Amino acid sequence: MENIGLPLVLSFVSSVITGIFSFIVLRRWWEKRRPHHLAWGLGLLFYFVGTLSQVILSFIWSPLFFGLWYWTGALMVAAWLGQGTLYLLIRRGNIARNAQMALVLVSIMTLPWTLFLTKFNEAAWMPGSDMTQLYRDEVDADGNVVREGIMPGKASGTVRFFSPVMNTWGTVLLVGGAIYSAYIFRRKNIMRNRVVGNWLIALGGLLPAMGGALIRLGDPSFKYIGELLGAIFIFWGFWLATNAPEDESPIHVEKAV
Amino acid sequence: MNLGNFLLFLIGAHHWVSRIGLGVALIMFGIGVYIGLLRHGDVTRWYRKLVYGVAGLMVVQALMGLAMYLIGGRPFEEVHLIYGFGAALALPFFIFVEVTAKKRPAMGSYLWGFGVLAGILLRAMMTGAAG
Repeated sequence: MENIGLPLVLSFVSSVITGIFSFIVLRRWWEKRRPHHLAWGLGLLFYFVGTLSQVILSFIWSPLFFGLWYWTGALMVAAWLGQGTLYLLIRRGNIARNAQMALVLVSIMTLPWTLFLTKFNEAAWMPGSDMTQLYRDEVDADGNVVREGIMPGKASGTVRFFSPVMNTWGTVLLVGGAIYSAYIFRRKNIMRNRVVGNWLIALGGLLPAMGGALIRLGDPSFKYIGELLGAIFIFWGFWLATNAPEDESPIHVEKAV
Repeated sequence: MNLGNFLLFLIGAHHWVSRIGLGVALIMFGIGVYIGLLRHGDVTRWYRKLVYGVAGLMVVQALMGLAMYLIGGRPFEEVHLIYGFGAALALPFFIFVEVTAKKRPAMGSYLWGFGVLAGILLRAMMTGAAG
């Protein structure tokens, strides 16, 4: 019971909220079959799995849940949320569908890679700890390893290589999408809901990614508050972006290959 | 032919099919650029047939890898298995996008497909055999 603190409670609340949000968004996809609903629904589902894994890993060591925590949090969430934004912004040709197929392929390849081919250092795990502080080696100012992490030290040639690639891709789409739609809105004066919604999704996607920076603000709880607020902003953004009045035409970009 | 000889045969075939596959993927990418980007044309029947052929070749390549694994052969790095899995799956995903595309032309799907396939094959070669 000593493991139960504010961070754990916030993680638990985040997982419950993202679980409910992902169900609502995926149900919306089931009814309307819009691809951006599916991408955002999957992004929120991965968010749910990541926060739930964090809760479980606070109590027990489990290679399965650690693998799922890393795969969802470091590789999937930002990329799938960004994919939803891509569907709304780029109607040109089949670019968004092709990007989704590349994302599905990377997702399918990295899941068994993380779960079965990555060796985890169980000895580095501590009950009640934040996995973002344990997953990699802790080094001093001279680059010497002070404490070994759960994941392999080097990113090259391991599944960790994909983390910056996927997060950069997802973040560029989320933030770039928000900026681009704001620019288009100003120019054409259309789809205000979608612009505000994209800004909220971008903010919601960025808050969990800023976990380390939030911890450095002085209290580890900030990271968990960031995760919780991130989930709420993403859902709020989704709600605004997908409830635009019917008579407003979507943002179009010209023709395709 | 005993299992040892069969394994040696598979190692040689697997080695050469990967090189040929990479070369064909790059050539198909180049043809795709010419048809899709320079001529602004759509996927032709013969091009689609060739894509199916390359996808089939990748499945055969993956099956050879599986057979070698079952006989007892092991890649230089275990992650080679993931790249092999990816190489077999890469083209079918983009074939699906192209054949179901409502927006034409749709040559872009095969540019993505062969670009991704070439990258995966390159990584597969780097992790398949030592030296």
